[in-house]
Order: sequence, then structure tokens, then C-alpha cells
Amino acid sequence: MHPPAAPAVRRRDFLRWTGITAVGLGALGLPGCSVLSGGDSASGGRGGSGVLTVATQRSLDNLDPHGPFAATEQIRLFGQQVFDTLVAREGGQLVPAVATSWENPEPTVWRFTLREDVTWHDGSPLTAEDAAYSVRRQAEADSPLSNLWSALSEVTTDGPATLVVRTEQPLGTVLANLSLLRLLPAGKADAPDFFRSPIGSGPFRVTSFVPGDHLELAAHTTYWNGAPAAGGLLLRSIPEVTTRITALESGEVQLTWPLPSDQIARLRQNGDLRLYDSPSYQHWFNWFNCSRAPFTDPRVRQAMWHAIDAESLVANVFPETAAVAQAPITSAVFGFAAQRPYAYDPQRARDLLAEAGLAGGFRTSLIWNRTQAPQIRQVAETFVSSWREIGVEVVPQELEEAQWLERLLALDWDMDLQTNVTATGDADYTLGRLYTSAANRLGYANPELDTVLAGARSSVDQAERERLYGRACQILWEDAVGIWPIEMRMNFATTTDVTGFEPTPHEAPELRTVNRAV
Amino acid sequence: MADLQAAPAGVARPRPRRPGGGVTFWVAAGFTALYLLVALFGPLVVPYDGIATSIPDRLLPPLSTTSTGTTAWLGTDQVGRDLFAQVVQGARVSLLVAAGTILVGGGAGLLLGMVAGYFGGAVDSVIMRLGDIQLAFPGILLAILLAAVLGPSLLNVIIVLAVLRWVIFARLVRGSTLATRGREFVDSARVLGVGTPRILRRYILPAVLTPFVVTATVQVGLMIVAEASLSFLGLGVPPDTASWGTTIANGREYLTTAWWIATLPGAVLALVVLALGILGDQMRDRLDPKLRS
Repeated sequence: MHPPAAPAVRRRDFLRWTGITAVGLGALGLPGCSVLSGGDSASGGRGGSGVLTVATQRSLDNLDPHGPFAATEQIRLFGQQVFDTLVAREGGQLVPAVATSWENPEPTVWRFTLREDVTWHDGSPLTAEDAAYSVRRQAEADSPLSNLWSALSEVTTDGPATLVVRTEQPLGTVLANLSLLRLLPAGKADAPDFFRSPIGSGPFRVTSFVPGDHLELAAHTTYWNGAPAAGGLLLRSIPEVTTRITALESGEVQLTWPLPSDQIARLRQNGDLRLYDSPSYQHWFNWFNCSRAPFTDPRVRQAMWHAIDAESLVANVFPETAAVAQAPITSAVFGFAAQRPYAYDPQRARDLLAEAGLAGGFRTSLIWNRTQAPQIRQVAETFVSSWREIGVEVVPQELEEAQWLERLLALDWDMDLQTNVTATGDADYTLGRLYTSAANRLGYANPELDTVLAGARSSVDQAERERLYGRACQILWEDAVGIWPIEMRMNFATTTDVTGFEPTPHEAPELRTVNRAV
Repeated sequence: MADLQAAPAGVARPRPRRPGGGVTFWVAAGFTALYLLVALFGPLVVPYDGIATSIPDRLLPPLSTTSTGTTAWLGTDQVGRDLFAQVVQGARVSLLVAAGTILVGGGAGLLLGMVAGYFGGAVDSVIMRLGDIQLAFPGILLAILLAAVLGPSLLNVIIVLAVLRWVIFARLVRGSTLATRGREFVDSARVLGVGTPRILRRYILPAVLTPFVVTATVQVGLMIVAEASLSFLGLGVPPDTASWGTTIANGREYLTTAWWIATLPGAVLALVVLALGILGDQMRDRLDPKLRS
């Protein structure tokens, strides 16, 4: 009655992976040729091969980088390897990628000059037409990223190597948004089964995809920015944390994240592993559905926050991996402005509830999805326990990812606990995308905030934008539309034979330079 | 079984027990009694609060002292709840689910089985084909489907398992009813003009009750495992209700650092199910009506 016994499956998977290792070997020497040579199958995952196995917690079910799941970490990780962007983010700076240069002749017009040596995985050249198609497709897609492009008015080309983007109002986030916009081949991407094995122009090409299980990538050896160091990548999803960490320790997997906080100290002792950490764009929040009583009253939301002891949470549950949050975005994100923390004060919380006419407490519910982050259930249970201290009874509801996402987007919840990554590193991605009245993600409508966010988005003066996002942070924080308890650090672990890995503040590192010592 | 059935009629005691068989029976019975006692009265002695967490006390090994000065006999879990209290409360939940399922699923099976067996014909066909269709579907898959639709709650777990198990009882009861309805005392009752409901109640029911009880005993153990499985998968009881399955699932992530969270409830679960299995098996040997004709 328990889940299917592992051994049989394991062995089959083992054989498949070693097979893939051999395929990767073939791909390294003979691009495009998948020869199953059997090679080092006896040595299992450890045998040097140039194919890197990367395990993540969340499963990759879909390969559309503009689609409804475009903002999820797993799609961004995959997209980073397979597709190009016009602009890239490097250490906080936006730098040229497929676009070699750009100018902003008028506030609402952006002209990009494109490289001419970029080819798709099928060999055809990438043109401005493809770029224009991609911008249009993303802007019109049913996707959480489309909102970033709501000010877009038209995209045109001026010859094969010039892209012109016009916006209705000035848009300060054009470059940051483009750093997330994956380029797709015009026309081809409309084919019904294109996304089963999509073609991109990035450093790796898709060779095989089993939804929910694994994705195999082979090096795109003619990549314009230099062929990737590894011969191929195998992206696996292993939702079970223990299994994933065990796979890393046994060498079956060579790179993985995130790491459970409780195991970091132990993993550090392991001489076969190397641990990386960096500031992150990832923060936790507990949203209130501000359109549902009693969370329509800011005092109730503030009361809920005063009941939470974030410092104890960091000290006991995330000793190595988090810090108390100071804003609705992390300190590494552009636009961050530190706010006054909500002190842990149950008495103040009870007073605020009494002021709001709820001295006797109330009953509500909390939804979360277990695969969102390691330890999310513990955070949820800790919160539920804390809220009972102030007389609020919370029904915990742990949901499957699909069901959770559906209810989240349909606003069918009282409170929602989750983590979120500011993927572009720019406050607009999180604040401007999630908290406007138009986005209506948590039933919160505040015309002042809308004005501030629209102003920040439409300004091309970065200092002005920073000031406006600071104001937005303050409004959200003081109005307590959610609780922002902690911000995370990113933790990665590799086996010691992995070279060239650079930790990133987000969960989609580019793996072009990563290789395994043979 | 074949040689047992050939035993002379009128043998009151079954076959001579294997050496040690009696001991096994009494150990199993004793352990089951202990389980029942703990499930019924344990939570009164060791109260468990599924909501209250205490993160400074998380992941304490067995026999540790918590920040409030109490001793955590089996350690604490990942949010600092006492594992012993959790196991004791889990015993109650598992018993509740097992009893509820036997009551609902077994009751439905008993009624439908008697009706199908006694009336036969179209009624029998409809009921039993329905059961066959359901049996052809993998049990745990059906349970997962139903549980996902209904959502996690104690009552829903009972409903799911009852839906899953009624057929087992219905088939058994139907068989016994078929064997009984042609017997002389039933015929004579019918000739005397006794009404059908009364025949079912007074003449058929006592005959089918013994095999029913034996099967129920075996099923209790299977129900406990089924409840733990559903909870393990996150489809059973809600997160704030203690369940062995939930505790084991929580402990999975800590097998290397805090083995006690998953291991101790797992061991208790295994022992209880084993004891119930042995007990049911031995009861079948002792009470099998075929030995008493």
C-alpha cells in the first residue's frame, strides 16, 4: 500500500542514466549523433563523461518558456540553458547578449542591434524577426510574465539585425524584462508539438524530455558565446529531499539545490562535496486575501504579523540559510528599502484584533504547496501555532502543486504561504507584477500604490525608480498585505569533480561554464 | 484446510496447535489489547496538541529534556512536538479510522451481501457486478482518487476506505447467505409464514456473523496500513491531526539526522499490524464455521 517499492525502478533508471551518460559522450565528440555505446555503464554516475546531472526539487512538466508556468524556477532553469535572451544580467548589471547594443532615442522607443552570428539549434540564423515574434508572443501569452509587458505598444524590425520596441508609456524595466524574455524561432514555435522538443539558440539543445521526470540536453557546440564546457546536461526532478541529497552524496547527481537548512552543517563535513552560498532573490511571504473578511481590515493583518516570531524562526529552523526580512523583496534586489520590523508581540496582536472588533479571535485557513520549498510545512505549522496564541484558529491545507496554483490564481483562499523569486533582480518583477490592482493576485487594490508602481515602471531614471520602489515597499509593509518573515540565502552543492560553477542569487544559474573533471 | 474439513463432525476444538502457536496467539492478543487500551485511554494520560509547536525544542533525540522541563521519551519532531504523545494520539486516529471503516464499509457489505445472497437474481447480479467492477480497479489508486476529490479529513478517510472495502464484506456475506438460505430451518421458517426481514435478521444473520467478525479482525490491520498510506501521501487526515503515516512522512527528510521521527512510529505501526494479522489468522483457525457444522 505504500508507494511503489523503489529498487526495480531505481535499477531501470540507473540503466537509463548510464545510457544517457554514454549518449552525452557521443554528443561530445559527434554533435547530433546519439550513439548508445554502453561506455562506462559499470561505473554508474561517477565515471567521468562530461555529462552533468542536475537535480532540482520541483518537477518540469512543460517546456514553454512564455507559458503559464514561465515564472516557475524549473522553467527558468531550463530556459536559461536552451534559449537566448537579448540582454543578460551579470552580477547585478544588465549586459549585452544577443543584442550587442541598444539606444533609447525617445523615452518610449528602444532600438536594439542584434548579433548576426547566432544560429538556432537546427542551423538557421536568428534574425530580428524572431526577436520581434518572441516579444509579441510573451506579451500576449497567458502567463504571469505577460504583465511585465502590459505597456508594450508595438514591436517592429528594421532590417534583419535591428529590433525596435515601442511602449505606450516610458517603460523603465525594458532591459530587465528582456533579460527574462526567451527567444523563440518565429513561426516554428506555433507548431502544435513544438514544445515537446523546442528549438532555441542557447548553449544547450533538447534531446529528450519526459514530463515530470527528466530533461536531457546536449551541448550546442556552435553556440555564439563559446560551446558549453559540459557535453550535456541531465535535469532531473527529485521531489524527495532525502533522496535528492542521498543522490548527491552517492555521486549519482553532481549539482543540486536548494539544500535543507538542517543538513547543511553535515554536508559541509563531507569531503566529496563543495557547498556554495550567495545572497538570493528568494523571499517567503504569507499573503492575506485582502478581499476576504476579516483580512479586509489592515489591523487584522498587522495583528497576524505581530503574532509571528521571525527571529526565532531564523534561529531555530533556518540557522544557516535565512535572515529576517526587511522588505517585501530581498536586500539583493534593485529597489530594496529596509522597513521597520514588526516586533513579535502577541499582546499587541490581541489589542489590534480587539480594535478591529475581533477580540474573540476568528477562524480562517492557510494553503501551501509542499514542493514549494523544503521545510514549508514546518513554517506553516509554526505560524498556525503562533496564531492560535492570539486566538486565531487556522485550518492548515497542504495542496498538490497544480491544485494549489489553481486556487491561488483563482483567489480561492484566505491565506497563502509560499516563496517567491524576484527573477529579474529588479523590484518591478515582484512589486510591479504581483501587487497592482490590475494583477489582483491577493485581492488588494490601492490606487496610491498603483500610481507609485506605474511611475517606477515608466521612469527611465534609475535613481527615481529606486526611490519609488522604496515607497512601494513601505506601503506594502505598513499595510501588511502579507507577512514577509524571512529572506533566503541561495545554497548549492556540487560534487568536487564539478568545475566552473558560479552560484547565482536566483534558482536558474547558467550552466554553460560548468563541467565535470574527467 | 482440506484435511481440516475432513475432520469428523462434532469436533469442538480445532486441530492441535503448532508448538508455540498458543504463545504467538497470546502475545498477539496481548499486544492488540495494549494497542486498544492506548488508543482508547492514552490520549487522556498523554495529551497531544497537533497545533502547538515549539521550534526551540525541534529534533530532540529520545529521552531529551525539553525547554519546558518535560522529558521527551521518544524525542521531538521537526517542529518540536513530542513524538510519544504523537504516537499515542496516532493510535487513536488509526483505531478510529479502522473502526469507522468496519462500521460503515462492513455494515454496507453485510446488508448488501445478505440481500444479494438471499434474493439472488437481478438484485444479486447488479450488486455483485458493481463490486466486481470496483475490485478490478487498483484499490490504492481508487483511494487516492477519492481522497484527492474529497480533500483531507478524518471522515473522508473513513468514507474512502469504506467505499474501498465494502465489496470484501459483501462477497463473504453473500457466500454465507447462499449456503444458509437453503437450509431446513430457513425453509421451515418461510413455510410458517415468517416475514423476509425477520428471516434475514433471526435466521441468516447469526449464521453469517462469525465469518464476518473473523474477516473484520483481519481487515482492521489492513485499514490501519491503508490510513497510514493515505496520510503518508498527504491525502489522509489533515496536517494538524496526528497520524502515524503523517509522522513517518515528516520524518523522511530527517532519516539521516533525526532517525527517530520516522523510525519509531514506523516500528509501532508494523508491530500493531503484525499483531492484528496474527490474531485474525488464529481466530479464523479457531472460529471457522466449517469446523463446527
